[in-house]
Amino acid sequence: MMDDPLDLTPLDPFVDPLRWEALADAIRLRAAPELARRAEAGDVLGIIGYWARPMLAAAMVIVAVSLTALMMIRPQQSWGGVVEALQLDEPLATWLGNSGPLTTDDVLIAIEQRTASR
Amino acid sequence: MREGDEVLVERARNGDAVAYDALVRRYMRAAYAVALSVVLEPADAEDVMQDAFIAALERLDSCQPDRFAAWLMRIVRNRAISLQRRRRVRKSEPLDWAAAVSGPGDPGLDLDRSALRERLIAAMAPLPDRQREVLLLHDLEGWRHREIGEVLGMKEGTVRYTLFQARRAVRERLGYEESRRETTDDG
Repeated sequence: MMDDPLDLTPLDPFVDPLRWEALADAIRLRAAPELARRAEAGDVLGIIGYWARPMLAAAMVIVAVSLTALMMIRPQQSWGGVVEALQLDEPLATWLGNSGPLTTDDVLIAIEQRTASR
Repeated sequence: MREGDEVLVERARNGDAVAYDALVRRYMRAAYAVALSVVLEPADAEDVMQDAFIAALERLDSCQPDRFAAWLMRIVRNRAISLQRRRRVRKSEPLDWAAAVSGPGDPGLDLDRSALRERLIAAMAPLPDRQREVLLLHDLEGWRHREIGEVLGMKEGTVRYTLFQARRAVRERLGYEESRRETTDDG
């Protein structure tokens, strides 16, 4: 019949199992370097992936503990301490204390005071 | 249990040689059929098939794992077309068929096979690439219409019709060759 399958076995190189194996082996041999490269890359990424989350979690815990401890040891840091530590002049210390914006008057007074003190 | 292509592709991406080998063995015959449908030379088809598997491994990251077969066959087809173009440019002499695909057994049988092979190839040569591809995937590799349709991006009905046309053309051509031979022998 017209639609029966054609017998194409003469075109089949895999009738011989040895040839089949030889072809598969040849491909495997040629693929070996690329597979090795991929396995190596996979290992490095795997190690990073394996350690990344625990390391991140540990870092978060350390930060949380450190902040808590810091707050308990030094409960309130006053402006006075900061001004003293940074050796700031009086007007500047006042401006830092008030969170509002500077006015022209503030600047003029500050210059005046500084000139007078010298 | 047979592992799906998706799993094997993922494992092969990570350098798993066993998974890659499983993919090679699963699609070696189909890749050969597709290559042969283009180059019409068994030895060249084997070369193309091997090269395509190596190229596929190198580009495996760009493959959608559930579409591996279709993706691989595209690589095979492109490489086969490229080889064919080069071959046309080179105009190289034809390869020795018998040496390229000789099966086990006695030399007489090999000679018969070789003659049959040449006749089949000659009968398939005038077909469009797509018809040859469908014919070889179905009648040589035993793929189903649905599988061929998925891999070649054709509807199942189109695959059936393409196969029917291909078989009819090959049969007609083989019959023509046969009758011509008989006429020659009688004369």
